[in-house]
Amino acid sequence: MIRFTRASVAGPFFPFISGPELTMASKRDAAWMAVHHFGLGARPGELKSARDDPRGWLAAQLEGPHSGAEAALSKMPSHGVLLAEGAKSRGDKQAHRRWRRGVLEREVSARLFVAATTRRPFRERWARFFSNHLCVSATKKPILATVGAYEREAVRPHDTGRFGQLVRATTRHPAMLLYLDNQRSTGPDSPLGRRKGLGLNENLARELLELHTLGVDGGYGQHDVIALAQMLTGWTVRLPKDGEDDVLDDVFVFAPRRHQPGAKRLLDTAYPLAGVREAEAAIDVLAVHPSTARHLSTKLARHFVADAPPPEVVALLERAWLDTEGDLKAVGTALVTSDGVWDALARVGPRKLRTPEELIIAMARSAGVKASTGAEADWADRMVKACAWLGQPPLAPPSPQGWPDEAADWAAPEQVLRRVELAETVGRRLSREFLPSAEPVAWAREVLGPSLDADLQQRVARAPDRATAFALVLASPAFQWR
Amino acid sequence: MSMNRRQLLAALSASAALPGLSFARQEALGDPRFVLVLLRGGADGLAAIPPTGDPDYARQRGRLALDPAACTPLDDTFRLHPSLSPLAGWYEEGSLLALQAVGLAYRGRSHFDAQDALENGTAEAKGAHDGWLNRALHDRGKTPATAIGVSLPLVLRGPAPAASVDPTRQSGAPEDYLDQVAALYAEDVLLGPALAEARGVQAQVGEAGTAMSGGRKARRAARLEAGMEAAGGLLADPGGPRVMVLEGGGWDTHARQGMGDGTLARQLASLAKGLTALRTGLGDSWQHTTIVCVSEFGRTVRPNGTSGTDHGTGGFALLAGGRVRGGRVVSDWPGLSPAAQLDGRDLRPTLDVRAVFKAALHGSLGIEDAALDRLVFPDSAAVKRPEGWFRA
Repeated sequence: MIRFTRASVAGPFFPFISGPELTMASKRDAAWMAVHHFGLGARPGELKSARDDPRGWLAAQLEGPHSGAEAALSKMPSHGVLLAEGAKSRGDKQAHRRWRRGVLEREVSARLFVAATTRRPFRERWARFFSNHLCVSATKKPILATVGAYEREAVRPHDTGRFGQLVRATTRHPAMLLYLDNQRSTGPDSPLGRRKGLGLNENLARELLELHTLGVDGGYGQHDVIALAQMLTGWTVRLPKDGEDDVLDDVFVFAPRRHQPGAKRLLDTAYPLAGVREAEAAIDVLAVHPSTARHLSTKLARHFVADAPPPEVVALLERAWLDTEGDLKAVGTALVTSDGVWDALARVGPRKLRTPEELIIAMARSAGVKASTGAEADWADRMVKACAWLGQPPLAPPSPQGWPDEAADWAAPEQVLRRVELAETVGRRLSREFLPSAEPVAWAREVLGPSLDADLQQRVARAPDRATAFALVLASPAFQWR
Repeated sequence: MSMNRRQLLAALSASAALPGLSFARQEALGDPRFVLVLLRGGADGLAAIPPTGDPDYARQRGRLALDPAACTPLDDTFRLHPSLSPLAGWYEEGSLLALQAVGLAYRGRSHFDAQDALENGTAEAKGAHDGWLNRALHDRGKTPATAIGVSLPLVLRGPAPAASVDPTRQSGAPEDYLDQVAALYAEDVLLGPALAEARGVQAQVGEAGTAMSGGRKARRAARLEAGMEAAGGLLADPGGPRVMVLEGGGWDTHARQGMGDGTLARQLASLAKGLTALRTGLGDSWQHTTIVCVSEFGRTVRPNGTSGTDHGTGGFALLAGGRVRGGRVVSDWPGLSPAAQLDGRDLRPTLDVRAVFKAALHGSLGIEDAALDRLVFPDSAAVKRPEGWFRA
């Protein structure tokens, strides 16, 4: 019987999921970890698909581009088209506000639908990890309409490439340039800087070093922040005006007249004057720096193993990072196929509390949501609202740090009460609409696999009605933790 | 040479944590309660504490100028907005200190950045990733600082334990269901206690009958009001929290903000009502309580084209409580003449809001200057803690 407690680690949770001899029971447990912990929560039937080769099932998801259910996202307009559309209503404040709110709602429900239905849930979690690591936020009004496009355009296409490639794409994306105020940053000695007395904005450079790459203790100083900020001068956007015929998909521009002249010196390395290439080259160097490998490996281990990242898992990911120069597919493969990771998971058990967004996704998956129209679309909208009600409005993290990733951040008393209330509301909805004829214990087995313990099974079997039975499963520790 | 973080923490816990204080000082502080009220959206300080005695007031404020006869006089220059008149008695008895021309070191006019700077306790929007109140509470033990609401505001985020509760709504889930879930959580050391605490608050609120019928849909101002009412009871409870943060929106009055009545008047009335309810709930604990009300910035001096005001710079703050030496308006008043205005539009701030926080943390919780200047508000030694705002 599996018990979900955070403090006591009396013995291994899954003694069998690692090691050479895979028994039937061990395969079942490993499949459940693949689906429930590395994935986004079991859809009915999903456990079976992972059972033959759980590690292979995960690793295969890192192959190729995002596909299948993700088609919903590829049909959405580019940031350039969105900005041009927004320019039309800019004269009318009310209409403009309505428009951008509408864009955000469409983006958020499309990505919820993708997460709820994808057959490659680990890949989706992987992309979302980097989207949060390199976050922009809808809390900043000027980028509210493009935060969704940012994830679609800058993060998803590069989530299995080199980390340097990913960070170059995110750094040059207009949503990021506007979020971290780089669009007007100007070299004081550039033509425009001299003429108008303009200067640097260090915001993007600082976050690139502190949050995106090296980490706060990564061994850089204020002079490095300034050097990187100088390299980034001229990375800006050309916002469309109303009535313009030419609609560009990408509004990034490099403005040489803002660019700080002369060579720069970053982390004791000289960079000759090279315009837009300077910061690109710097990002490539930062991406493979040992501090970055350490910083990202620690964050990955925290997200994919435990709040207190086991040192041996961090070391293993770090090695993969350095050996492959930040090849994210290789790092991801090391994560899901290494004995060291599975051993650590077997030792600590499911110790990650689902964030509100992970929770509503898992609920939608447990219901087997299929269509993005009609009653299910309406339900998705409600779930998005519930997510905000639980303290995590999608695509709107409170700061460039992104959403926190530790259980204590998501378990304030009021939040826990709301989790339990949401389970009750969703349980009622499932019994009425999505699973009107499901047998609750059989469904619980599909959703919780081997973590459905005797106590919960008995409570589900004895529940006064189907709605309460579903609610108890969704509120249970086995469902709240992954 | 500056201390490293570890040394700072050690210095802080030695000098500021209550057990480290002299007996006499502890005696004087009693069992202190600290309440921070964040008025989000940029509250109009020139309406809350109108400088009706300023020779430029009537002309500059134009159609938003209040009728002095309708406002309680505070001193020769300042009066109290009619909606705040329930607090006139506090002022008279000396437990309310009004502050004018307060502002951030940050000078942009973005809500987002200004609120971050206000809460992270630095001169910049991105100056720190955690909040000054959390840093101030490091190592103080006892019950965690508590925010009213679902998640923690930035000011309470950081290494010290902090929680959130929402006593302003009544849970809709059936009790027998909650009992079953509580049983499922019996061995879960995180979810179990959290659910128990939230249910405890719910029970307390249910008894007091303070939950609002409107629930989530209630007006934002009314939510703050209900939160303050409930907070009073929680703070008075011997086992309850000692530090609380409340936040309310609705202060971003770009259009039709009104004068003696209207949007802003309703906001202010609700604030006064909430503060009154908070004091009632505190009972005798009022003697040891300090309340700070602030907003991220003030608003433009002149009305805009839609009978409202736009984002400004200098604003107001209120400091209240049993040990506050109030009954006065503290302000190095810059005046409202066009030449005195910042950028020809805003009230020029003359008091850094961190000075207000420093005075409050020192006077209420006994936190010493060494910690305030370096750890709680990093690199802020130049922002001096004002003296004499608290009774000894």
